Amino acid sequence: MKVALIEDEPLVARRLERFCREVLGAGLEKLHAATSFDQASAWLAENPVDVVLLDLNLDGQDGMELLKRSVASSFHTIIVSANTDRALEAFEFGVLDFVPKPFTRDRLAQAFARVRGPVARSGSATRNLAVRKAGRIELVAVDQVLFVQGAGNYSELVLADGRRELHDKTLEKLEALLPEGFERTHKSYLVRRDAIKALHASEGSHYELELKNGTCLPVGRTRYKELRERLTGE
Amino acid sequence: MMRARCLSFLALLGAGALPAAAGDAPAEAIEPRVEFRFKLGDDPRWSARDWDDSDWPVIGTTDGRPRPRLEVLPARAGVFWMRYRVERSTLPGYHPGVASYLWPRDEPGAPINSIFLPGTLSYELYWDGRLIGRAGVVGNSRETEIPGPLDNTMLIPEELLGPGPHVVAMRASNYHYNFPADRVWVNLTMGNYTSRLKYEARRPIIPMVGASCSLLVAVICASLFWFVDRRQELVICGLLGFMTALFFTLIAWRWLHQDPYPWLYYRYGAMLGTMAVMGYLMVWLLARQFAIPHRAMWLLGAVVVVVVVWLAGPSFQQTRIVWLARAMLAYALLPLAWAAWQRRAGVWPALAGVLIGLGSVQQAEDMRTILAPTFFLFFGALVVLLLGTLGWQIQADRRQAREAKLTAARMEIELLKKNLQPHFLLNTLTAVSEVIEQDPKGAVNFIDDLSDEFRSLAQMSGERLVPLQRELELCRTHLKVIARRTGRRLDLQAIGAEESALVPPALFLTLIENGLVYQQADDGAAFRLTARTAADGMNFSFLSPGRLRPLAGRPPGGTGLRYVKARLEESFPGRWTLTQGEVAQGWETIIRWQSGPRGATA
Repeated sequence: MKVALIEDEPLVARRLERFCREVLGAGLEKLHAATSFDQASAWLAENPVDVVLLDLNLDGQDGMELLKRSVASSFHTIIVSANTDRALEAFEFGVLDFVPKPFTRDRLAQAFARVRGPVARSGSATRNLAVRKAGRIELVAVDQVLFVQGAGNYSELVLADGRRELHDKTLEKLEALLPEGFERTHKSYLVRRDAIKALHASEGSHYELELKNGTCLPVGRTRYKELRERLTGE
Repeated sequence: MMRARCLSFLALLGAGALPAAAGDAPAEAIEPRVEFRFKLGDDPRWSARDWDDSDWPVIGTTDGRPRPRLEVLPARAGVFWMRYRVERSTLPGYHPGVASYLWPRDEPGAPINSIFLPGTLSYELYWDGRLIGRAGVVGNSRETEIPGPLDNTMLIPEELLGPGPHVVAMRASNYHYNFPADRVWVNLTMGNYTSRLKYEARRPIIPMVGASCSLLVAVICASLFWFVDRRQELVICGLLGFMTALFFTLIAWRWLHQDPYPWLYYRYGAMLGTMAVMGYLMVWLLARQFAIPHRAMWLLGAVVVVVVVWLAGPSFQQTRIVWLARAMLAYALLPLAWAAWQRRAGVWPALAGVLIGLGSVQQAEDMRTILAPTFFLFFGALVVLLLGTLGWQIQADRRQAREAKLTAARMEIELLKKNLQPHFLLNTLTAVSEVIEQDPKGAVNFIDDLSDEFRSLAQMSGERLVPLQRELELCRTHLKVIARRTGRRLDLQAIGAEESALVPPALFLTLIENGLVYQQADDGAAFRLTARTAADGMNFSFLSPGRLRPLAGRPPGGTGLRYVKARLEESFPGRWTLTQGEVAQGWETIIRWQSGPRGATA
């Protein structure tokens, strides 16, 4: 796992670094420590990582702005902060976990477990997805998302009004962040369950689902049965 | 209008000091001509109706004027006589001035059967040779003369009221006339006896109402002072109310007590003195009420005004009282104008009161009627307005005090929150956790420093002001904790700081916290506090070293700055300033406060 940590207090950074090494062991491919988000960004541009450990109270910087920039990126964000009153807000923006200070090694291990797990849903708290657009970051309400289509290292959010927005995270990472109401219907699709109108099976084990707006999306052969059970409640 | 008809005769025997009966001026010229003749000497025959007085000098005539020009005659010169002839058909009309709006008129056809004679003399009055009344005992020396009362209404017997002309003769002396002037005057009017008595009986009502209201103001001020607020302004306002009541009482006294005529001089003296004290108290009250700077200078100016008017004012004593009222009211306008310019709370009612008073004095063209009781009711209005302003200020101050209490409680909580501020506390605990695991010995020192800081904050939390020394200790302990956490070398230099000076708690600690958040300083840079004790307060310059962090900037109203301002307002309400700005070495915060009285500007 490739990890970056952004923490301006040396003792805390040292502690995070020590725990990362202890928890991830050989699984830690790379660890980079930075004292500011800007400092880290330059490095991250050249060195993609899986997860960033971020302190929301970096000296004099707007925590929310950092948060938005971080969650809009391709990596998962784990907040390590003393400001637990902002935890809910952080989850609404789509962080994977919020580790309150002071933290233990076990708590950090728990956070890393979410990154490493196959589809570790962080819960249903995510209300917004941050997308980069024309050099700035915009928030897209999760309620507006009909389905998400994987596009390599990116994902495409298809919204109820027909707009499409690109997100830097992979489909897998978004699946970990989005609420339970989203179904992985295909290796390339995450679909809002209450947007599904019908499930169709065609000859030759070809399955597809029809959304209420008339859009038809393919359904993975291996996922069809489970999806049908969920939709019919059987 | 009191329908009494009268013959008004002002035998002006000097620039003396007898007040006119308010509004006793004739409304029209007297026709035919009435001549007033005077003779120094004494002869009982001069009272006779048919005595030939054609060789007596004429000292005044009605001659087409309401107030005849009169000859000058000496005071304290001996027994003298005055004679004149009058016909009922030629009696002039009569109006009683301001009182006509307040008192009912005479019944139509009421008989003209009395002579009203206010005068600073003892006399006998004869009607067609018959003695109809006397005031005191006329004498040919100070020892033999017994002073008569000031105001007298003589009833003319019914049998003497036949068709005229009638001869009125007055035998008089004035050895007890104690005004410095060498002339006196008397005012003879005729009218209905019953109406005149009623009128005279009613005249003290208005000044007594004024006296009662002013006394009530004094009592209210005393009660407020005793039970509500021990402020000096209430004492001054109470004294002003009391002196105003005394002034009204002195006006009313003339009709309440039949003073011998020499008392008039002392009564006017008392009124003049009372007016001087009222004027001084008014200026003092306004200066305190509106926190006028250089108060001693203003009060000295008031004394100068009193002395100048006293010494250089008109010789008529009643006129001098009015001049004094004018001068003091005009003088009071100066500090009030300054207070209005400074937008002092409650200044407008006070200004209105003084202007009303001044306007009413300026309206008083006739100096003889200036002491009419209605006129001085304006002083009562002024006192009531001043009290109203004071009451409003007390209410505002009490509201402010309540808010200050709430602020103090809030500030205490704010300070305690600094103990428990999550970002500081939890980051520090995280750092402590790391040190404990990696360097147990260092962790003990870390915890000691942290304990020192928390202990200091806890001790300060309930205080409004703490010695600067304690504040500096707190700041340095905090910097030690931060230095342990961050590994940076941090220091605080204090220059010119008088360590016993009192400052709001955690004031500079908050500026340090802000500096750490918003400034990017080189390792080893020091915060710098420069203190200077001014004559009226303290000046501080606080430098947070380093450059502004590029992304953050300095928010204009951050939590820390709000705390600092709230603390300053709590301890120095309205008397502090805080300015901030970037300088070459970092970010400078300049704080000034005055230790002066409430309401002064910073």
